[in-house]
Amino acid sequence: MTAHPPFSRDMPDGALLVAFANGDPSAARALSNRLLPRVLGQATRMLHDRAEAEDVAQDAMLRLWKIAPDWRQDEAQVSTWLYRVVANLCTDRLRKRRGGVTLDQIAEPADPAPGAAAAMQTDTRLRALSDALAQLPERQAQAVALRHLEGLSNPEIADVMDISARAVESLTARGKRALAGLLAGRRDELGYDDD
Amino acid sequence: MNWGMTMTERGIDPLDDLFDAARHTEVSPSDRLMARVLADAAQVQADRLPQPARPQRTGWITDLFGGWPALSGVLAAGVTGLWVGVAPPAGVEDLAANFLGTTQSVTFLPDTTDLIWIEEPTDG
Repeated sequence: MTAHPPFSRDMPDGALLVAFANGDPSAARALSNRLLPRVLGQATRMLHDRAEAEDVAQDAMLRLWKIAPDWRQDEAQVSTWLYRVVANLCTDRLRKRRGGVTLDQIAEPADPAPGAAAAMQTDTRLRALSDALAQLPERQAQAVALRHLEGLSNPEIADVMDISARAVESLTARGKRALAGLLAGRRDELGYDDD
Repeated sequence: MNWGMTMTERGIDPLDDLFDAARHTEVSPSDRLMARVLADAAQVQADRLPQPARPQRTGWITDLFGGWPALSGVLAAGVTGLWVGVAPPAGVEDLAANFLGTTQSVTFLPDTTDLIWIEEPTDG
């Protein structure tokens, strides 16, 4: 097996992707080490389902491998492209979930051990947040998730979603209001009366 | 009045609290997921890049005869010979009968009578 030199940490993602397209097998590992944690994190925060998030992460990375030969380094950032792909894949999943359970049908955790109670409550709250995202229009859900779950700035979200920064502001504001409305009815069961 | 506004007035916005909890969720890829992703990458590379040419096992034979053009002539001659053996033309059959039906002796040595004068002593 041919040994390949390790890639510099300063090497841009786009250059690594070109190396991958040229057949360097070690470029795939370098890119995965860099990008997979963030891709999986974004999917997990939107879906709050480990198995679904892993499927989305694998799918997003597969799309990256396939687009590598056509990648133009000077036109796009790999990270921006991946944010968009993961957001789209997640809203696809949320749309299917929308037709399934409603917020009122989500099972409550049963008999948590005292030490695990707080963790389970957090888990329940995050699942409720994900299910509430599923109830939003897809563009609102994406904008809210990118702004409040990923911490991106409005200009960055504008690049990801290919819209204006003003449109991002509108989407995130409306999306956050809608989320608050959806979750308001569950304040007691989510344990916010204890705060 | 919505949920966020109510809690904000009390000093705590549960929606922001939820966002904060989500952002701080620790997520790291499992070894199994990493293996799945790298397997996909290897498959994509294998599908797209041309495979290195594998040496042919019969290559030495064609080289021995001077390549495919020369080897094709040898093969044509072989096939022709085989065909003549299987279904010989009438003339060939008669010729073969003539030769195979009689005994022929062929010598490549010179006639011994021509050599006697060398071996016999000469007078004087």
